[in-house]
Amino acid sequence: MTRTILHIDMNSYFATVEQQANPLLRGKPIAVSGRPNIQSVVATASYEAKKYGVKSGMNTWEAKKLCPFLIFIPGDPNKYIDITGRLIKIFKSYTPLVEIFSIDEVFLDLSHASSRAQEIALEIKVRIRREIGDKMTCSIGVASNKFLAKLASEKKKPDGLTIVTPETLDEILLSSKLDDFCGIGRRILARLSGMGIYTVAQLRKVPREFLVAAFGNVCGNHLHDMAFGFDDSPVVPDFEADEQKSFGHSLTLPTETDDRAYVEAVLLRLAEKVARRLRAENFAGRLVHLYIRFPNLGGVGEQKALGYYVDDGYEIFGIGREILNKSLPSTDYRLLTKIRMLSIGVGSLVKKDLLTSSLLPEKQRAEKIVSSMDLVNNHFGENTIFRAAVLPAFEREKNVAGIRIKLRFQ
Amino acid sequence: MYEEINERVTVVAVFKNGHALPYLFNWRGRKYRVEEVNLEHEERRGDELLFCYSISAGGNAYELSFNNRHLVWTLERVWQ
Repeated sequence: MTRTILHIDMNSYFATVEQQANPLLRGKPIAVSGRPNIQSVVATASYEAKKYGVKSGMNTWEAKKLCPFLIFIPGDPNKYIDITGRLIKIFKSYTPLVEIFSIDEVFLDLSHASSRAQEIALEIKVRIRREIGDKMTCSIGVASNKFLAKLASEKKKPDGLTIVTPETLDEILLSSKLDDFCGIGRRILARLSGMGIYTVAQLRKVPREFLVAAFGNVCGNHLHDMAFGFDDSPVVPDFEADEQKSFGHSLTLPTETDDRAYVEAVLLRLAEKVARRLRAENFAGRLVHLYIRFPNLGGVGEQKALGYYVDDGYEIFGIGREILNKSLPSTDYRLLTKIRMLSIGVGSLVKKDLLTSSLLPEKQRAEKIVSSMDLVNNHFGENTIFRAAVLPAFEREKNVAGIRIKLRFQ
Repeated sequence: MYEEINERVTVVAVFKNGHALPYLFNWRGRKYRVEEVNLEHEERRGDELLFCYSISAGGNAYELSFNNRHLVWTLERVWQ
């Protein structure tokens, strides 16, 4: 049976959803970000904004400089998640083999209907317009594997459909830039450039053994395979995906900062989010990892293994802070280096049913408080009740792209 | 200009086949006829489910939400 994979990429997803919701925004350069007029980060730019050079991840002031008429829209994650759920329902009506690659990208394995792949791709486009909204567009790549399908979907935006056949394979590969390949990031690109490899044609000429020696077994083989369009990775539907191995949250800060109190508040906020997800899924973990990225994109990360399991945000925060202090020297008020991004996660998970409850009264009391807070938040909505120490993070988080928090009962 | 409103409003809606669609709403003493429902989505707030409607009326864009537990309509935000 011929493998037939579709890669579907929703075009400028968050921005298109906003333009769908609001006709006043259509045809205008918009950026989904934090609150208007406050420094934040662009999560997604509309095609009209992209024409001015506005890109995801860009600071809002930088974006405004490129496009003075840019309209900033506060991100609404709940809306995007719900629309994604409805899109996935459409995709699953064609095959159960749907891999959710990100909130706006999926792979479909249509090997059982190879001869109808083009027809299905066009039908999906029509259904998205009819069932979600007439401004919603996607670019679809159809190919014999995931790598080529993804590469193909990038070829025509917006609203593209690119089919890779044996006849067009070389044309599509050789017309691509190396960093168009999924898996070739800035670092690998720099290393390839350092070796005098700037094009796919040049990469093809490098022997597999040489790439393995230079980049290691996994990456070297992958680079060689990509140059020729090989990829045998399967489409992994959610029901076959590996069991959760860790829970983590990260936040790119609105501005680089060395304000220690603020960084700690953000760390607590992230740790609370991790802990809330752990408890919701009935997990606890005993490996805490922290990663800090600096403005120049370098970073440090460390982890700490514990002799016990944790699912309380404050405990996770405490361990994270310990790692932070160890990794990054600071005074009482200032970190010695400014940071741009912070992430914390918990691994080495176990189902809580397998653990015995603590006999320590203070621990039991803390558990009762946390479970009562969970009950309140489950009933009235996220962040109805939270630790006061998180407030400084909330205040600035309201300005961060893609996150909108309603502080209720203020 | 974008503005968060979060005010309860009176809405005339059509309920058909398990689906609600706003038709008219009254906000601050003025009636607005819904010209187009541009996008619908659902949002969970705690254990309550809201049905949200991004609509066009009188040249502006609005977002209405319907809480099916309390049978309450809210004008969430407006673009003027």
